[in-house]
Amino acid sequence: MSKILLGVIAVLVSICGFLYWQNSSLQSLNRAYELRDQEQKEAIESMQQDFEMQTRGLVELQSRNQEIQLEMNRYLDIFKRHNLSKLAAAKPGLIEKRVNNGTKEVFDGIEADSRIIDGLDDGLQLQPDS
Amino acid sequence: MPREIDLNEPYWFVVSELNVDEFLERVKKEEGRIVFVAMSIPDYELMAYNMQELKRYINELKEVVVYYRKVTTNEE
Repeated sequence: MSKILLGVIAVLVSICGFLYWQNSSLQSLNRAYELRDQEQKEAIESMQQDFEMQTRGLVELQSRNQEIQLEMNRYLDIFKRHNLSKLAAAKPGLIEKRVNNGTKEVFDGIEADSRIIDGLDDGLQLQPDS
Repeated sequence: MPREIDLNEPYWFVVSELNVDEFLERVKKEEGRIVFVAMSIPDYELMAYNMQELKRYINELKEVVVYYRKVTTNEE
């Protein structure tokens, strides 16, 4: 009788041990899945933020390009609105001043733009490839 | 980024029938002889257009650099 009881107890201990081992391995697997899930959520959030920032940046870029094109058109429109040949023939001294002032203005503008470009990388450090 | 642009302005003479003699005298006095490069008004307009086109390109390039700076450095 006691041998049967010992046998039953041994079987029960073995089953309990197996269940405990299985439970432990499932718990660690679960922790790994939770960690992976959290990392994926963070990666998706980061990608969404990047995408929003890039979209905003592209909209701004297009808007600025339109402004630049309009500025160029405004400047060139001066030639369309005035007959420069006729004006220069009648008042060469006046047109000479305007032409030289216009050249200075355009050159100064280009210099200012290049100064901004030159300063765009100030304080920036290249990131190493990951 | 490359060093900023440093431009020197040329001086434009505008010459018509009204001041051509004065201009030739001035050139002879400054250069010692009559020699100059001339440009017609349509060609001047063409050059002004080209300068504006260059300015547009530089400006648009600047905006692209600004864009990439923003998206790579999380600047607002």
